Amino acid sequence: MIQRLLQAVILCLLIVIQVSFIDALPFPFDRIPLVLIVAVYLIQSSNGARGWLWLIGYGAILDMLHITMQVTEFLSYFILAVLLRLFAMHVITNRSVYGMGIASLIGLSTLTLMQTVLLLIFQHEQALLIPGMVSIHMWGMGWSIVAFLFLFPFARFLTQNIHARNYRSL
Amino acid sequence: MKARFSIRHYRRPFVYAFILALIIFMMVFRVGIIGIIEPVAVPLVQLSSWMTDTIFWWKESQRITPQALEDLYSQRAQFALEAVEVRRLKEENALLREEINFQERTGLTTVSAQIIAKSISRSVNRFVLNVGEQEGIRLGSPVISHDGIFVGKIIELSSHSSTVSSVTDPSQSIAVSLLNESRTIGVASGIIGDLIQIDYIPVDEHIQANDLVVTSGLEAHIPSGLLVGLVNTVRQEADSPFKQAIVEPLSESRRIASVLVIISSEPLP
Repeated sequence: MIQRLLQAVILCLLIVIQVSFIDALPFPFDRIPLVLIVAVYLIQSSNGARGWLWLIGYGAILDMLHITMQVTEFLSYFILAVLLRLFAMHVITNRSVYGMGIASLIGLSTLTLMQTVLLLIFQHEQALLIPGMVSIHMWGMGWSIVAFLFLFPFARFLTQNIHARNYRSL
Repeated sequence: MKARFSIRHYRRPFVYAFILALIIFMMVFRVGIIGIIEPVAVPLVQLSSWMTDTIFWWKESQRITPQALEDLYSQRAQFALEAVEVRRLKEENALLREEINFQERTGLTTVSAQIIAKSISRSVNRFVLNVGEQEGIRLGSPVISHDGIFVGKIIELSSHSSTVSSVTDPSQSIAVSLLNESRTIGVASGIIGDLIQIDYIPVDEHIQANDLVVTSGLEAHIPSGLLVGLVNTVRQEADSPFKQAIVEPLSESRRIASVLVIISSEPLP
């Protein structure tokens, strides 16, 4: 129970950092998809067991704040979460930095496709914005690769230490 | 051997259903989420706005040429002379109003607001404020910077928060007028690149670069005369009966961390 609450707090903090800090930075730093990167790491490292609810929560909060042009972000991130979970369980079972990089590229491509489809269905008069949206996700792919290349060893070290501590306390 | 009965298998769907119901409830009522994130979000927005402002001025200082600097100095001297004339005219105006017992135009009533979330990108320019219906904000209320420059308008409202669509948001438009000879009126829409575009200007309207663009007052809740930007370029396609003006906004949503929301403006007598 405490672990679930801690995860909820960390998720809230990540989302606040994403929408209040990162999204307000100058270009190209505002394209860093922090929440997606952390969620992909969790999903891949736990074989789909953890992290997928984080994406759904993120989509819900974006819809609550109404700061995106999409009619609904909840649906896009819901489908993304399910897809990434299935990929981690059955397709990309590789937990190395390469597997995580590929998972993040697939995730962002899926998100781009979903948001383009939703925009064309519900807001076809805003179709001119699609190239801008694709550009944002392309930058997001670049940043996610950079993040996994440089932060993956540190994240793995941290995760292993936490698991070792939990095991010793048992 | 039979698999042991586990209550966890039955509890899990209820947990997921509860989380889904909570998300739907919060989306409908936007309850609490703003209050929870505000204490952390406001300092983060201020920090990132400061970083953006610092980088902006650093880039500008690298880019400015000696000729541009010389032009700015000569413009400053010209504006100083005009300021003296404006001050004299204001004093004269006040004196004349007193003599004929003219009713004073009251100022704007504003509410100060902090930005708690931003989405400033090439395709959307919106941000969330920590004030809402309880503070007197209405849908369509104009938002200005502390310098009095028009920044955007309220498009979503809840009891203690609101979402602002910036003047450069491609999904929004406002009624504007130009301070040229003929006081051209038009509809300005945001375009990609943090710029504003005014379409369908008749070809016989005389518009030139550096003409001031202000709000026209034709929209509900938005008073006239709020500064929006400066005309950058005017273009016309061949055989088209209309011109198009590209306007550079004077406000920069990326660099601000707090704004003022106008909640009432007294109409002219």
